[in-house]
Amino acid sequence: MNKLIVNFQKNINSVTMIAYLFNVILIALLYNNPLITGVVWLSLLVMSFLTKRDKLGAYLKFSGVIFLVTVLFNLILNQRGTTLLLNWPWLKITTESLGNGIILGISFVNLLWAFYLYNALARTKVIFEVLSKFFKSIAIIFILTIKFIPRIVEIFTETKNLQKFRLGESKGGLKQMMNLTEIVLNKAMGSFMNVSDSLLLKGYEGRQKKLGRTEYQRSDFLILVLIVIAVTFNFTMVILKVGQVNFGSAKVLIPIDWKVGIIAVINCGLIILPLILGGINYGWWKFYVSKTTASATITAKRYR
Amino acid sequence: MKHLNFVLERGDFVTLIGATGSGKSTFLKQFLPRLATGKVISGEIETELSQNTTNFAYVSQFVDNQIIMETPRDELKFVLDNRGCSENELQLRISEIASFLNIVDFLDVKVNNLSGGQKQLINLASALVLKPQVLLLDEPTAQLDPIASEKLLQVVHKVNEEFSLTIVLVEHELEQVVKFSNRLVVMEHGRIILDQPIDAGLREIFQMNSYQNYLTQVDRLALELKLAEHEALPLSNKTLNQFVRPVSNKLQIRKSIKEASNKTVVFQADKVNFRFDFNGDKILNNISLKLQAGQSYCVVGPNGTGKTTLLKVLTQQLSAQSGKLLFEGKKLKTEFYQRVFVLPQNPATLFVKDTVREELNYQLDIYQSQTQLTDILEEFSLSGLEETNPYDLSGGQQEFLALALGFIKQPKLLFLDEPTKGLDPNKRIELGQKLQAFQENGGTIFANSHDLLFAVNYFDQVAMMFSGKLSEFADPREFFSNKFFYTTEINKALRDIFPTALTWKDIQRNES
Repeated sequence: MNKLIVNFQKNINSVTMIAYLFNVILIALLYNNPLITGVVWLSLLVMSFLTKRDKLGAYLKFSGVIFLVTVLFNLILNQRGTTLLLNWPWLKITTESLGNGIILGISFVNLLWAFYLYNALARTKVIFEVLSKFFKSIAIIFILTIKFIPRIVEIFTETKNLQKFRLGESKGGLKQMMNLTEIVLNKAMGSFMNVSDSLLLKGYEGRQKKLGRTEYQRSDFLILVLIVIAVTFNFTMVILKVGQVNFGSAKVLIPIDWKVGIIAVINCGLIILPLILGGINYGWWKFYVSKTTASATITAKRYR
Repeated sequence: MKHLNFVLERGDFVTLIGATGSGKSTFLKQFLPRLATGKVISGEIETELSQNTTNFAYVSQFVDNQIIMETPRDELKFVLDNRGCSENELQLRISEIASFLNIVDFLDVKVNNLSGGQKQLINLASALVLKPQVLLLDEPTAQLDPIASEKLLQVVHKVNEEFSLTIVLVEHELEQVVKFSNRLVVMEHGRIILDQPIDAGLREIFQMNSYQNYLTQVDRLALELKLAEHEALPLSNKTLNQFVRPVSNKLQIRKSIKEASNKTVVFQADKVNFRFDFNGDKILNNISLKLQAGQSYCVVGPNGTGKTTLLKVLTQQLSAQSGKLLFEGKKLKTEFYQRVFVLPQNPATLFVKDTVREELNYQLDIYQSQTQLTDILEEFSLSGLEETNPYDLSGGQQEFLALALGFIKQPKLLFLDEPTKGLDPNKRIELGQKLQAFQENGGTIFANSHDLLFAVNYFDQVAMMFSGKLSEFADPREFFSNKFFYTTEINKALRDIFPTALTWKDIQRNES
């Protein structure tokens, strides 16, 4: 993880982090103007690259496939528009339908990348506490899900590999795959049962505190206020239909003006907020703190 | 459990052993009725403590499944939050336990990035943070390598010594734990058949055929040679050396005869490389090896050094990034899957049916084997378990069922991943004998293990894996007698007197 993002993570509490991630997801959802979605996509990609690089390649492939599928589906389902690009008996592609498909594809991909970021930065404990405050049983299901989906995938891969040695063949058909899924789910149940014992031992059943207390610092208040302003701003823009393109009409107008530009810049800033704040902190440390209070320490020397 | 009488005193460190299925875990769970399954028909537990998780802390062998949260700090907070601790108390308790157990450095590390030993330490911390009176440990080292096991048990010893915390520890072997215990209990078929102070207990199990294999190598040698008549057991390596030295002229080393082999190569790996991440460390770094037909090979090394990855790459469960793998001189194709069997670390991964009978019949059908089901059940000690679900079998029974499935296939090459994990000493011997029989019939074996004694006793060639590199394979006697730290206890204790002795069996009294 990039050091500026690590700094951001260390200086805020988990509730502020959730608020930041919630805002990122909202940004990915709200707009469909190509300029904004494009900028959002780039910002998300930069953040994802700097936050969690190990699964980036696989996720790029996955989001690429999702993008293609979304575009193709839209081209098939929405064949409206006036500027004809291709005309087959069963498929009519127009500039508008292509534009629509691409924008929807990017929007969908943006949402996926927003969740990639969420996965990399969110802490299970906070979500669990929020859930357990209102829905105790759902909180347990949440824990089991995030804990055991990777485990189930692991069991599936291992079982699939070992079955080749047990059955003496390397091929697998649909029927075998379905059998395998059933076997894997049976195996996974055992692991679920062990966790219920663990929850008992850790006293979850008689849980007395429903929400862990969180300590707020100045940086938390600053970011939370910023996010509240950002959410209000974005909702206002959506209500005013700024940054929105009506793809339902046959003649699609894509406005690109200064208002759209400002929305794009603001939202880009909100997504890369960890980099900005981490950068400010880094600059403050490098050019001020390390030269004054902590000037003799090895850490400060390293920063100089 | 049948007519069980047991008294637990404050500050006791009780070690409970017994064959798999003898009722050890069931007994342990009686201290915490919420965990216990089944029904108490008669008898009762009298205790001045209320039987809840505040007084009785419990740690099981399932290292991963006990941790609910993402980081150790969150895990500890979760436990304390559930008790309604105030913020200040929570902070203080976490500081105390983290400093005491020396886990401060990884309090905020994601659990996925911790080793098995560190995870088990976190599980112990979660149990101790509630300041319990009794600590119940159910095979806590079953999934750990010897070094991680020893570290964990030293911490348990520390809490026992410093706070008089009462410990009840269920174990499948005594090698590491015996020096910390003050009481030995043996269970068999749901009854306590022995409950003695440690010295008397060890001497008594030496007289019991079914349990003498549980003794540590050092104690076994001392008892076999009648060297420790007046010294309290367990003995340290140093004490054994002091006892053996004066009588060394009356002792001799057992000669081992190994046949030199020059057989055909059945499997070959050439410059195999593997890493998980683009810029990650090489887990396998230019590994080359040749396996000859009818020979057995064991790769030893601590947990986390890439032994399992090596086995998975060799069997194509993971794809090597570079290098060549050949089975009987050809690339690994369908024939490889037909003539090779892999016994994974968790044998249950192989099971696909609901009963032992169905599981075996399914395998017999696939390979059109003429062998009778009853013969297999008999041979692999599974008689009477025909209708049992394979998942309900004990670790040792699961291992044997998986091995039975493998032998029905009659493979040419057998890969085993940590085959002795969780097995008691008697089951290990039984497993070793089965592998030797397989080898005598022309089979080739490749295993990885952190069990040095198993490697010494049942393998022709041993190599060590560390930092992605594999040493050259060598005869176990030659391999271990050259090692200083990573060798058997007998070798550590007596290397200056009998440099090639590795197990208690290697040293005998002169026949004259």
